[in-house]
Amino acid sequence: MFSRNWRVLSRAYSQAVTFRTSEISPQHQNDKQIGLFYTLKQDTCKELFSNGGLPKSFMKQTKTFTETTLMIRQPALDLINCIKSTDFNKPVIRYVLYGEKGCGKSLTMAHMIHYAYEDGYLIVHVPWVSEWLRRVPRHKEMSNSQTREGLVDLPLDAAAWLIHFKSQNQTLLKSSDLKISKEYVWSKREKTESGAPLSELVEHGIARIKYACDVIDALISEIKILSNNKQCKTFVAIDGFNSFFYPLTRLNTPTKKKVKPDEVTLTKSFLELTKNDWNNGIILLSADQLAVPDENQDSYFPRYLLRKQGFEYLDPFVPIEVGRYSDKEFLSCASYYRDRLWLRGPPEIETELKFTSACNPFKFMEQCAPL
Amino acid sequence: MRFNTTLFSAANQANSRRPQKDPVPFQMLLPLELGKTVSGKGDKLKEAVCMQEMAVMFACFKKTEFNQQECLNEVASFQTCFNNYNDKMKLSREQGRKGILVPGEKTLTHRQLNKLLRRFPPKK
Amino acid sequence: MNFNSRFLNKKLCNYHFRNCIRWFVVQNRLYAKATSFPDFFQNPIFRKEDQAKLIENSELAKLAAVPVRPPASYETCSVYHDPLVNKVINHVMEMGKKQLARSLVEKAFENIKRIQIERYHLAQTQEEKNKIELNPKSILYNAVENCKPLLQLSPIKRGGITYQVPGPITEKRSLFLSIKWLLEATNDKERTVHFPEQFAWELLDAANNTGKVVKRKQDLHRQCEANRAYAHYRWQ
Repeated sequence: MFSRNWRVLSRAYSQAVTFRTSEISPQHQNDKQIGLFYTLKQDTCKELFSNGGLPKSFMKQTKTFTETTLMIRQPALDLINCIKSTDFNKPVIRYVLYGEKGCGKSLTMAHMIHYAYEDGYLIVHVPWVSEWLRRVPRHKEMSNSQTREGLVDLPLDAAAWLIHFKSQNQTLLKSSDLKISKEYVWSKREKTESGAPLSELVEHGIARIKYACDVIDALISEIKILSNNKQCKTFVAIDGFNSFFYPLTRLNTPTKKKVKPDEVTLTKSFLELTKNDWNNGIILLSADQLAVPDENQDSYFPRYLLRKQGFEYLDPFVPIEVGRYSDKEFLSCASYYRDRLWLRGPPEIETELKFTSACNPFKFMEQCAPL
Repeated sequence: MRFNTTLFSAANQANSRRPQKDPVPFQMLLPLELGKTVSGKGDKLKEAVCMQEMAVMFACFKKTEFNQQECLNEVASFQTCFNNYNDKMKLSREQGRKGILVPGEKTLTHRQLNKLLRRFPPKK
Repeated sequence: MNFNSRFLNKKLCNYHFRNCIRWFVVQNRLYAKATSFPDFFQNPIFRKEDQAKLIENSELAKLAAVPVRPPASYETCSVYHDPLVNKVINHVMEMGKKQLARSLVEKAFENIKRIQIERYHLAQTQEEKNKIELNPKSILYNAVENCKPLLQLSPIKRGGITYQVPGPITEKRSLFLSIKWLLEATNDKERTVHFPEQFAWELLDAANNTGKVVKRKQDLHRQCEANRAYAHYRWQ
């Protein structure tokens, strides 16, 4: 009985603060909606993030809350404004998201991907670089590259990424006239003609896993050419980008040799993509502490995480900090959690949670969990 | 003839195995007078409490297939009985420990008795 | 110097001793053995509600000069503080790894919450929704309450035979048994299932008055019932 009263109370309390907005299209979101939650449609979400892209803990939350909602936050709005006023004839601008652990870099990226999706960009999204370089499951498929001497292929990961790419760009690949500029010969019998649609290239990579890495390489050069020719505009999003510049990966070749990131073909391809020698596109990267081992997580600033090499490689770029919740955002988030029954109890609990979680979004979510 | 030695050995011989000879002489190990104190050994109550309530509870349990929810009254009465008993015991124990003498009380704890004995020591 | 300090200590002790007689308040020690604090040190009153009560009864002045033990790290005035939860955490704890124990119990709470919220969203009508208990703490309370045994069997030797004699059980022991049984039932699991998951399920079952632990309690009651003829052997 007691708890029921709390529930009624907390419901009443949550209704006092508006925390939702009906503006579900990121193009039209503006400063007035900062701190408010908007709902992603189920099928959009499935199309964009079914193969990764949202953090695991967030996926769990969406299942419990029976909806996928994102908070509209300042960094995302800044990015949208920047993109809107960009001259697409100039070389691509690189944005780097940085911030403390659990502040929402990946979710800001997800928000931006939704924006790009709504705006009709070709999305090249890498959900988590460390998934390739630092995560070693029991059967990690590795092979020496056929085409490039001394490099290592990750065929399974590459194929998985191609599937992700395919599902994110379903509509574009199906309808548009994205054509390949030159002929690719994979083996004696297999080749992809010039003028074939881009989707054929992707399909080939998925069907013939052996060539997946080479397909990605070809795909990326094709995307660059297509963008330069103004046939499509491209949105590149790479989460945990600083993994590419950490001196070592956790991969070992069959001869027990440690693999460096730049000895992996995927690294080569995506570093090629993040150069600013093409236009009509946007590059959004993130520097994340979680992408490097514990002993190198002292600071969350890009100069430290990207190291000298990466910093110089990316220079010039636009750094964008994703910070902790402001008071308004915190209040809105707390009332959202109350609405979703995730948080209960007297209102003064929020003061304490605000203090103990230090307004860190992830910590706040964690600390609400056992309440 | 071993048993001969056993049979004819003198009574005053220092042999623990000798047969006892009546009358057994009395030895005074302790002085023959009342002690100054009593021990607390006999104070323990020799009763099982709440038997009635327990029987009622068991009857109810048997009726309802040991579903406690349907015998709330019986359970409550059993527990209050035991709690009352505990409280009573605790109180009496505390009073006994302090040894407060209540005038006119028939059953005394050993501490109370000792207090009385100290005040009125047994006469020699 | 040495002599001096010893003398001083003695004086201080005497002083304390004399004073503690004056301060004598019956104290319920929360810990089993003496700590570095002598017994006449009072337990801290760390809850704001309790303090408010003291102020209301104007008993605070009495405690002003009493030496008080410092509160332990888990004795906080936080809104989450809950004595029963703390007790369960202490039962889960092994080798003094309290942080781990706490995280396990909290994970279990999280799992309970997720399961219940999912049920809440699945429920069709408002009535059904109202029936679902969402607060994991109150589920824990219900579960522990439902698992408390009313009787215990104590072995008593009569005429060379040990009889299992039923008798009433103290509140403290029944709480202890209840938590112990819940944890034993939880630990009796497949190796692949994690503790928080299983604990969540056990708590939910027990709160519904079903499951292994409630059955264990009923079995005990059954055995007590079968042995009720021996109840007269019980000597209090």
